[in-house]
Amino acid sequence: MTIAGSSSIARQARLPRGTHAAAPLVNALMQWQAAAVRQDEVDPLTTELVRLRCASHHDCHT
Amino acid sequence: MAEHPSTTRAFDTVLADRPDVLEHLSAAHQAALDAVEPRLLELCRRRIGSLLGSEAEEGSGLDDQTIAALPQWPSSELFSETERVCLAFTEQFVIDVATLDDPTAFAVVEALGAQGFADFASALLVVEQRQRLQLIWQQLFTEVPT
Repeated sequence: MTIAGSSSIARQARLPRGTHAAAPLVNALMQWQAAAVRQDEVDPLTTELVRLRCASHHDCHT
Repeated sequence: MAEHPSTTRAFDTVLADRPDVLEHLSAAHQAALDAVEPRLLELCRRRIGSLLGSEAEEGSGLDDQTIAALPQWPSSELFSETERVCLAFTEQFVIDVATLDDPTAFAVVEALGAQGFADFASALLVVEQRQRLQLIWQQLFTEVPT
């Protein structure tokens, strides 16, 4: 699928399903990201623009 | 791998009023250091620093000859095949992670295994984020150490 404004990249699965980084690293990353998004000093519009830019940069469609 | 003093000081300064964020960021950094072979992650951290234009930090654990040869990693005999494939991955990761190609990724999977690849990619994210944050904060806040 090609999303407007982005390139279409065909990829193979790179890792077996269910493969994750080590639990301490995954958990620490999740907690750091959660702590960051709990901050509320940036206005909602800027926050959303940054989120969309990050999603595009990381090829994330959430 | 050694702690990175200037980055740590920058985070301590900017996040002084946000201890929960600082705590989790520090924990993620430590988890990244624990998940990947120290020399490999330090080579990649330094390469990220070169690409982003961030200052090199002391206490890296790498000898001067290795540090000087890092820009020539594709041809230098100082780097193993595993280090080369991981440095190639690192460069694409930093420049445009969304277009990172399969051959580069599969070379790392072959070198490190599936679990090692997952650990390496996540740890790389942590060390890249730290350097990007420091660079941004140096632009925004004059009190952030370089």
